[in-house]
Amino acid sequence: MRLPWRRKGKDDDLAGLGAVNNGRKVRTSPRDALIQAALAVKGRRLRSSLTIAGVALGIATAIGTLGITASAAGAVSDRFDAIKATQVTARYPEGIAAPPGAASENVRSLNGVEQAGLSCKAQDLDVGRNAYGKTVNLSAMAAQSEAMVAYQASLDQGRWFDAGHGERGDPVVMLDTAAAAQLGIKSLVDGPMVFIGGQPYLVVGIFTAPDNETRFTRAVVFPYERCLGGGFSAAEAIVRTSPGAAQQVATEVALALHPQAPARLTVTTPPDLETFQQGVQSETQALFLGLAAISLLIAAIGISNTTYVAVLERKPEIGLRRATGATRSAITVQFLFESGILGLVGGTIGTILGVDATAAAALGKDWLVILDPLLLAGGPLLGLVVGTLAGIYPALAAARLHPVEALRTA
Amino acid sequence: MIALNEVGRTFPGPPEVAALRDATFTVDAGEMVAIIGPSGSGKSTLLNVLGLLDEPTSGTYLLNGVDTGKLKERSRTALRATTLGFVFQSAYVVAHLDCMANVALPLTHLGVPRKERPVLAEAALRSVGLGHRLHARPNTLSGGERQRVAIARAIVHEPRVLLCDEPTGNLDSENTQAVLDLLENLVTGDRAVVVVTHENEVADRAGRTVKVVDGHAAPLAA
Repeated sequence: MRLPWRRKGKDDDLAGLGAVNNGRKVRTSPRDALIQAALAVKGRRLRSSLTIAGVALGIATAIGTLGITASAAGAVSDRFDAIKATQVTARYPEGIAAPPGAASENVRSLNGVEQAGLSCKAQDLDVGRNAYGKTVNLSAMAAQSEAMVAYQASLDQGRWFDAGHGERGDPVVMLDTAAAAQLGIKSLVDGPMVFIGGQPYLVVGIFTAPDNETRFTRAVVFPYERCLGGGFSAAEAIVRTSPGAAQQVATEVALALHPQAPARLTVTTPPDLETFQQGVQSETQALFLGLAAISLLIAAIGISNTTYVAVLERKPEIGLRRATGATRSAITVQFLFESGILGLVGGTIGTILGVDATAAAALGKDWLVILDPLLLAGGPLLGLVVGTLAGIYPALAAARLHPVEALRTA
Repeated sequence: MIALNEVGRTFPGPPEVAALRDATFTVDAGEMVAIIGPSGSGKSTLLNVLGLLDEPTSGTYLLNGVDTGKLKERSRTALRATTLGFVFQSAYVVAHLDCMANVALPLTHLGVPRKERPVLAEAALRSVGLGHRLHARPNTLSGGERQRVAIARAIVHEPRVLLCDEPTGNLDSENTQAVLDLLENLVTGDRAVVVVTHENEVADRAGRTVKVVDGHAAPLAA
């Protein structure tokens, strides 16, 4: 059977059915469905706004968590990079301290080594400003100045030890800023002295201890040669390498320091930087991606719920549309468009909020703001996809409504 | 225009309910037919069948020469969209659309070009006396105005058959008269109007009457 809306002309035996559509195929165009959906979203402002807010929060959480994760991971990696990635330490067994020349000459000749020096630890000492007065208990270290530089201690006043201090056995020490403050030493201009075991020592320098080496905090430091005289322990060599050379230097440093028995040294190396960065990023991103997924799921449930409630509320409208010629697929498409629009608008607003939140959090911590450009384009798209997917069930439920049943609910 | 031959509609149970039995009558172009009967007699079931909103379980229903029993759902929808116009007891005016957009709804689903829709919708609204409320929101309309919007929407695509289900059921007497006048004027040489009602005042305006009692529908003698 050929029906008039299938015919192109008017001069057929059934012409006249539906005069105004002039024999055109009966269908609701996608553009018309989109316009109807937009009008429904616009016309139901309060409900649409609340749904959009839910989606926006979900997307903003997703974008924000991903952005903040990336920024935080970048900051953690940068910090690790600066401090640890170029540091190799080799600890001697107890009772052994290397002669200063060995480390200086052998290790510094290795490719990739920038600084290398030796240090050791002693029992804490009582240090006073005069021979018999009040004393302060301080951590005691002996170190080459190269070691202190390698540890990233910074010189505040005076000078580092030189080779002559150790070779001659000069009675000189260095103090970290906390120890100097405790002893009341503010300036080295007048050549201040400290007394240890009744013996005077000239303070040649004041330094700031590195953050990651607590042994140098509140410490009095002697020239490294003191280690050879006994009473010291935990002798170790610290090597500062050029970026990327730490792993290679670590394989060579024990042999360079102690050729007779390199296996007796315990070498500590940083983890491979790339592996570390990937580890930090993957761990944090996995955590926050989980949170983002939960946020999106909540947003999707919100859209689905709102759209389904809209279907229930708008049964008479659906019945009317079906009575006036809307097919099931036209109803499905219209409701899918509605939920898609809600998702798209919510996703766009959420992306803006998420970027703002990431920028605020990162700048507040002095981190570099790291946001994947794909995320910016992906946010609205994600909202659209989530909205459309969430609308599938309500849209199908709307399409399944029988027009008689739908009209009866008014 | 409309020809029913022993049309029945039985709803499966349990218990099985025969809401419509052996309905046999015709409606021709240019006449207004009232379907009357007490509540629960099967009037609405008959109107749903006539409007292709429901399918009979027996008999044949020819609409403008087309055997509707042989149509698939999509074709039934298309035939309904092109041939029929509906006026319900509730106006079913879509709340988020203005009068013009409400009236243009059938045109949207019919695929009428966008530029033609406002012209047709405005003409339909003017024909029911709402030329001054073209862009009014439904919540600003009175009950009578809403029903006139519904009538404009029912005729905007120039259907061959106008089906009305208790069109004055929610109106006061003044608006009832106005709506009945409108419906009378819509009976033209190539259009029929079928009105389901339980009000004698409405039935009196119709040229013929079909009475439904316990699912049996039969024309009353003129």
